[in-house]
Amino acid sequence: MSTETTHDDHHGPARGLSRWVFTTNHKDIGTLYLLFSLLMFIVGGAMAMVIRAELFQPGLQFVEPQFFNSMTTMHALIMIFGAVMPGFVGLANWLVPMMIGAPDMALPRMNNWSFWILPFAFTMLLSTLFMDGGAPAGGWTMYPPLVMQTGNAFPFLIFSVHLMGISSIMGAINIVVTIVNMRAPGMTLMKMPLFVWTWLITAYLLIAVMPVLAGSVTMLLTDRYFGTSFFDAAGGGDPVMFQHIFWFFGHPEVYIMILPAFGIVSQIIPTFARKRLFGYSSMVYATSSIAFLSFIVWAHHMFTVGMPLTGELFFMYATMMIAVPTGVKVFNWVSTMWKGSMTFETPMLFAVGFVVMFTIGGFSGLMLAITPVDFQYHDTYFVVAHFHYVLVTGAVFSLMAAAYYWMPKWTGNMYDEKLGKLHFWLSTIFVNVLFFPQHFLGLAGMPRRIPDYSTQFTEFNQISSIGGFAFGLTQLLFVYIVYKTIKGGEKATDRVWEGAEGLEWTLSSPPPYHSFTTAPEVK
Amino acid sequence: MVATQFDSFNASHRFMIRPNCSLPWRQTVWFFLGMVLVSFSIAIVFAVKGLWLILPFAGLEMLVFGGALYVVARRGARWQLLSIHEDAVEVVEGVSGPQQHSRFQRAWVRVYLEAPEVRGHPSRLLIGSHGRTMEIGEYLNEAEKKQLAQQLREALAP
Repeated sequence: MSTETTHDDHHGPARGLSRWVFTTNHKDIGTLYLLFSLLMFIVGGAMAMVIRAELFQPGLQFVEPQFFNSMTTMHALIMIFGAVMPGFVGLANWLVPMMIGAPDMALPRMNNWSFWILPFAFTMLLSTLFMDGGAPAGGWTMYPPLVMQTGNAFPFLIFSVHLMGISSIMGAINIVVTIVNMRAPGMTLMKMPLFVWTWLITAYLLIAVMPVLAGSVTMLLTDRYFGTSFFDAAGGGDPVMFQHIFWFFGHPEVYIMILPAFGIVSQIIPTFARKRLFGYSSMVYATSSIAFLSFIVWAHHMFTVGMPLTGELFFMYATMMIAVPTGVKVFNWVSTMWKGSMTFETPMLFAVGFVVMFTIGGFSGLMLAITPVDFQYHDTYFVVAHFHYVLVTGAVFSLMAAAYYWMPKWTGNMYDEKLGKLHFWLSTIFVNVLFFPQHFLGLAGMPRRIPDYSTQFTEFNQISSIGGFAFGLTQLLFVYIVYKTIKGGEKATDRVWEGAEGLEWTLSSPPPYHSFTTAPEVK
Repeated sequence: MVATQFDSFNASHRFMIRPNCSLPWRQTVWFFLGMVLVSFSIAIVFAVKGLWLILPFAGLEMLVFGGALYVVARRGARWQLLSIHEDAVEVVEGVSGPQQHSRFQRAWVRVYLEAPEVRGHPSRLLIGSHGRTMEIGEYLNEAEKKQLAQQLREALAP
């Protein structure tokens, strides 16, 4: 008896460029996101080098003030939308299906599309560097009326932000739908790894706030080209209203960039402490609380703009409340490490570095939350120091930790531990040399977003710039480590780390092209 | 997931086969409505303040989100009902309602668990007779396929 059966041809990856252009495989798309994120990290980092070179001495040395302002604006946009967010989306693509026991993302074609929009968005954004009037220079917050002075780059800025938003929304929808619908039997919500939980909440935030960003930049566009006056005071509009809606999007965006980092660290610390995560449920509730609070604290970014006293007080207290769930998280990480059989491989070093230095960023955030204090610190280098502690030693360090932790699983090869540790220590030393003096600059009154400054700020700026160049060079070591690991090295075992728990470690290293084509058993 | 039933009156076995779907349709609807409520509340508050251009983006986004949930939920609503009668094996399959009907002569039906061509891929559970085969429960996990194959062979044995 014959068995006429048809076989689908999805037995492995296609060859050549078409594999990457047409892929619907979550691992391929995850790899694309991560490599894109690394590329943008280097591009955005190069812009930071321009900024630090110019600020090495008072006076104008290398670039015109307009170009300097373009560098600060583009650096922020590229690092936020090009490096950090795609980095986390890349991790979600690689890990969420493996962690919940699903064969792939729920909507693989949309997944492909959401990635491939990004190169076009950033090519469009970067092309503005060569346009009449230069690249956008009004800050990543795009406040009117300043942003209206942007030259030919203006519509390209708006459309590139739209494309980034579309990409983020599609990515977020895919992640939510995957998590809610494709969990393996037995994988209840409260059994999900913390990384999956934090991404579910992040995706929820993204879906909630992205229309606000899309609407606000569209209204800027119509104000400029179609005669509307949403934010034009001359036509009866209100420029301050833009700040409100921008930060209604912008503050949840801050948590969009840090919640997945919390998830990563919550995966890594138990592995290397060889203990279960302390307070799993409280971690989930703390993450949800942070997400909720992120909707009601936006105006702490604009205390100096003029608000009723009750408004100032509300936003001050609401902001301070975020310290409670964040404190719960830090307490749980420390408690997980307490009396654990700790070892300090590179991912753990980055995770512990994250806990310590993110907390420094959290404390400076608490200082900024105090309204009368913020009146003094607003728009100074203190703010720059604060958010770089949160975003570099927080978000970026967690991405590095994640890369070292899961790279052996992804590539099948162990990375060079000595080089990894060297990368960590150089990064940690120089990131503090780079950003810690900026606290003092801010407290002394140096404003942010200026290419020139008074001579009394010289020494701290020079220390900061030296730290910046050294931190930038150190990241080239990371690029080399990634390259070396992809090319070869000691073969990784399936479980990779002795204390690793979770479904992704039950797969081979590297995992098969299609993971969990059959649902695994969840204990 | 496989639910089995033996009908002693008609002396027939029934196997109801469905894919795993971690969120039932009713909960999916509530989940979606919750998201719509949040998204539109934000957009409407801003619209009242005169910033109405957020509203169409919120609507568009909810359309895509709802569509995505629907597509995946529909994929999870597939089912196959395999009935073994005295002289025939009947397979009815569909999404929500019945859409396709296949019938095999019981005496000639064979059950195969075809090994995958590539390591890590799923095996395929096939039933067929007279050169005609069809896959059963492609969405089942490996253990369920093996168990179902065994149950089918036992039920088909004379």
